[in-house]
Amino acid sequence: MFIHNFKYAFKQMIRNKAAIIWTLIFPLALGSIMFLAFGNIYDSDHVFHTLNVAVVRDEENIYFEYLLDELSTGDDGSETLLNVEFLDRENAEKGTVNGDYDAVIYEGREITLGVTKSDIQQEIVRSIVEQYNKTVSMIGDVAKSNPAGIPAVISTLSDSVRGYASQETTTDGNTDMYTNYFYAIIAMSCLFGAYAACDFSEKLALAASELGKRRSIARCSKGLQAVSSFFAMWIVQLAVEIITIFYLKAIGVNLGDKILHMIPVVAAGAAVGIALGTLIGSVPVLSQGQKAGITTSVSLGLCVMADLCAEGIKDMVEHTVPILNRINPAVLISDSFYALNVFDTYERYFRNLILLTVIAVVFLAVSYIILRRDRGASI
Amino acid sequence: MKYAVEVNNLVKRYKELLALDHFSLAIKEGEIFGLLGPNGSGKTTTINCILSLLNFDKGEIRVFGEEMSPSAYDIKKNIGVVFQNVAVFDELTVYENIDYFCGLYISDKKLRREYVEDAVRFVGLEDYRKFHPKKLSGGLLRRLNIACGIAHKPKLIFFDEPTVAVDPQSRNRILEGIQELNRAGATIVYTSHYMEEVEQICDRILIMDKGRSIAIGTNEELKQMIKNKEKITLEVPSLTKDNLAEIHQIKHVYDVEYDDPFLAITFDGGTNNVVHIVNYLEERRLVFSGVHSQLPTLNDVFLEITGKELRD
Ligand SMILES: Nc1ncnc2c1ncn2[C@@H]1O[C@H](COP(=O)(O)OP(=O)(O)O)[C@@H](O)[C@H]1O
Ligand SMILES: [Mg+2]
Repeated sequence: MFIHNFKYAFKQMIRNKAAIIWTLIFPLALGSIMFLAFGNIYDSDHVFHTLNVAVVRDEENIYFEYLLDELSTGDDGSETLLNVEFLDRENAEKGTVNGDYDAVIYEGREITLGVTKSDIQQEIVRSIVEQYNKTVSMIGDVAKSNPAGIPAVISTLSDSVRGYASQETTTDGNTDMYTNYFYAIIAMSCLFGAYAACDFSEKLALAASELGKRRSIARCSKGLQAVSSFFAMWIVQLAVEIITIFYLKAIGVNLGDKILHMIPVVAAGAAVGIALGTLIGSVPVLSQGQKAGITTSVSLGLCVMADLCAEGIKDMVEHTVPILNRINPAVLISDSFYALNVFDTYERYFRNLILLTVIAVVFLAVSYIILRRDRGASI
Repeated sequence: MKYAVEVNNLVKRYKELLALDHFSLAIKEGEIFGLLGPNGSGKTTTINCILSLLNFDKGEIRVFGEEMSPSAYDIKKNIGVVFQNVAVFDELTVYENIDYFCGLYISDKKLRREYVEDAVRFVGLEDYRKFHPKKLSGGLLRRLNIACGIAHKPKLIFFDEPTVAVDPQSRNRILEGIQELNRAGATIVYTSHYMEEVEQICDRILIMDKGRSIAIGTNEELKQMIKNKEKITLEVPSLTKDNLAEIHQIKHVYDVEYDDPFLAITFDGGTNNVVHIVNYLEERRLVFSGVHSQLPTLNDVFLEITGKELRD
């Protein structure tokens, strides 16, 4: 009976087009697009070296030169971020094309970025320029009201630029934000398992569907039907996650070198996704449409909180209500990957794994209670 | 007498609504038992309670002499249900659907294959084994629904309005199929709000209304219960009050309705009633046409007991 149920649940899973699209195709497509959008970050040399910048002084801008000055002076003998040379337009551009300089900056009232050699350098120089332009209005205000404060503003600016550059160039931990996006995509894929599971438990829940009625009158207990379906879904979902991880790695996303350690995480993550869907699907008072809506918003919402769409939410939560990050499965999944690649110990990795398992068990226990009480007053 | 199903004083409430009001029935083994009632009279609720799909407030339910419960798997293995709405998996083919549901009862693979094949043949879906439900027409889908409910060869089968929204051809096939299952030994519980179907196939019929059992018996017994034994309709223009009074005096006539030129006369018995009417009209030299004699239907039974039509 178990095998029989399992076999058909498995068949349904792999034929459920909507579920396959959401859990497999969509994350893979999103991952590919992001990878292309971020350019060849992973191809370029991550080891930081001083950037040679040619500056074309169309019009003198003392504030900007002050900043350049800051950035080309090393702290206590360390390597400086920039090496600046002032040139005329023609030589600067020719030199950059030849490879003598990494980038050209045009200095004027507005600062603009010219030719650059490669993407990673362009990223850094552009961020300098952008940070500057953003801060200019602020500097203007400070300059008017309190000229003595200018150096303070400039040094804040140069600090933030330096910080950016050093984050950009961490080599051993893959802590860059790009990798975080891919972690979030994998977490999303896990949680999207909730779609198929919601559908499944609805077809098992007596009050929710005619199929549920038919299965409730069978000779075979619903507990057994539920458990075998859960295993079938879990195995398919786990396979999907493994495909996702290896696909991302194959296209060149740097997920670190503990790929195999990621598998227990996605196994637990897939279980949480399916348990979440099972829970939502088993609630008797909701309509099918409402359940689908709740599944979407909950799973996507959790991923957004794990920085799927924009960076910083997760950190903000960590600083304000850290408990939310401990119970958000999307955060736990991506944080496990992060922990794997950053820390030498497995403490945080295991903590997250245990939390994920607990969440899955809690969801399943609640669904079980609901399914048992199913023989209720309303069919 | 062995009973397949016994229901005693069943009470079921949906909040304020009293869906079943001290409802009782006893279904004999081997019969086709009809549950006839208008929409909303409580037929589906009755079946759901019998199957332990629904909690009820009061009463007692026994199936094959044993108390029914959600975990009474020994009873459940002998029960098949064809629900009012189609319940199949879209991702599975016709064959797989039947095999899946059959497999919830029959573990032996070889036996199951036989049973599934029998079911496929029984509903005439041989050419559609590999089809997905989405590709089937309404009638074929109903047949698949039936196959899923009966593939495990149950001894007691519930059909809840299996012919609603089905074309006449599929409908006849379904009715014949039900009789065939019955001949093969299954006890059938058949619900419908179509009296013709119930009259056609059921050995005994329970008429229900508003959650109550209002009459039970064979088709003939039910019709014996009521006063109306024959209704004659004809067209006679311009009858006078005197004429109508005279007609009322004719033997066995107990009701006369006249809506110029339509005349309807109801009899509480007698033979050759048409002759008596025609003789009277000829005696008075009244012109008439379109004489039609109608024996009572279950609708008349329902009408006489409840004062309203069965049809909505
Ligand atoms: N889940 C429910 N909640 C509230 N009322 C219900 C529910 N199911 C049925 N009813 C009501 O109970 C009565 C009997 O319904 P039902 O058994 O479905 O009738 P039938 O099958 O004869 O058409 C109807 O008035 C119906 O509206
Ligand atoms: Mg009904």
